[in-house]
Amino acid sequence: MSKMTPDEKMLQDYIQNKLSAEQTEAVDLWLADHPQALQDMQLDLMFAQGLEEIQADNPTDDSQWLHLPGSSFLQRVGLIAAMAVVFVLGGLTVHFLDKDTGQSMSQPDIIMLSTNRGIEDDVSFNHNENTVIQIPAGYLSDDRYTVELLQKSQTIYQINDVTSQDDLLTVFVPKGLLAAGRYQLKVMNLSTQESETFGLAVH
Amino acid sequence: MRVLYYIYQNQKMRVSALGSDKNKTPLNVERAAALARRIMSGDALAENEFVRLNHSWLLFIIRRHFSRSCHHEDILHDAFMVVLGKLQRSKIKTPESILVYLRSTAINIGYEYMKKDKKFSSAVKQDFIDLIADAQDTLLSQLVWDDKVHFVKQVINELGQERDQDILLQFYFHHVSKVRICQNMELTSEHFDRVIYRAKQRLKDLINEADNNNDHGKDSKTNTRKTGDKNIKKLFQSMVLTLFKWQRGVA
Repeated sequence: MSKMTPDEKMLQDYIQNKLSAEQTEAVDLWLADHPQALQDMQLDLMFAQGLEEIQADNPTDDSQWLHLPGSSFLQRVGLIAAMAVVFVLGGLTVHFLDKDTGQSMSQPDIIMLSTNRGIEDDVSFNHNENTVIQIPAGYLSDDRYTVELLQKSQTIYQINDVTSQDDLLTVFVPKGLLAAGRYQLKVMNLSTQESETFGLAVH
Repeated sequence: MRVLYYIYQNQKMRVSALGSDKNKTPLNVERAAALARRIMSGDALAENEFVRLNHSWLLFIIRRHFSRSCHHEDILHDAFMVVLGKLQRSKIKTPESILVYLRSTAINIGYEYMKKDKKFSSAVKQDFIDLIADAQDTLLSQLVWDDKVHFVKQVINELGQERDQDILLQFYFHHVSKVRICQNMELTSEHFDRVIYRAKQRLKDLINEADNNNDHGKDSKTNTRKTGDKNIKKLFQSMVLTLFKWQRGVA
């Protein structure tokens, strides 16, 4: 089952979440057979997650961009005012877009799919609003994907060259595109040609 | 100098040991498969052994996969109960792949927890798994894990040299590769290994010290509180389960 033996570089990439989902699974299973390496990894994980929490509690200057050294009080006030204007105008624009197109741009339904879910478990949702479907992708992967929505083997909707952000592929499905029924969502990694299919049930 | 040389030699041995692992016979995967077959044939004792064998491994995977979740133990319990239930009903076709199934079940359950309310907690009766988990000797118990920030802070403060602290931060937090860190900071690969090794060794010592203190009851207040919380949680879950069964006419 776990015939692969990771080298030092691969284990470091594993600690840093830089492996694909397949490679991560292979290392996970390799660790099941190597308790000493597992114990070592537990310490690595503790450092990684402990430092993350420490940094979250005490953000450094470079993450506090509103407090950049050298920026004057007026510059900071101006920046905040600009943000407020963008926020208000953005809200108004969304309101008008909503009126003109009949499609709400605000608060779409978000559906999260799991890469480990088999096709037999359909994910059900109402498609009365715009829907955002999110699918976990390989950690920090630069791979490109094609996402296809099928019904009875016929393509209904296809998006090419999707890339992951924050380890997620995000697909926007406009309101009204899908009628009630069962669909398959097929995700294909264009680099590895591996594909995964999810079942969707629209009410 | 002698100490540094000793540390360096140790680190070298550990790295070479990683390479030599390929010559060893895989044990846990085969044992897990054998236990799965025993459970499928009705051997109840094999269930305990199955949980004991895979508890640390699965908990590590859950902690790594769902770093921001506070439901690690709930996910673990649910995953074991689902998999054991399937084994008891002989629903597993390939027991030799039982660890693959256990891992993917845990990850699926983890995503379910992420989707649901943050306050969602396991509906599965957990006493069985708790009993086995409490009895086993794991490096990172939940008490220690919950206190990880304290341990990591202490190690970093003890490192002394700002450059060593920076190495840890670059590697574990900013996820800069070892090669890049060595280039940027003009370090040798051995120097990098020594810093990481020393830090991990110190972390391990601190954890062991804390565990010993807990064992001797020096931190009994925290232990009592945590155990009390756990018992209340268990009692509540048990009540909900009983109510649910009663409503369904099972009990």
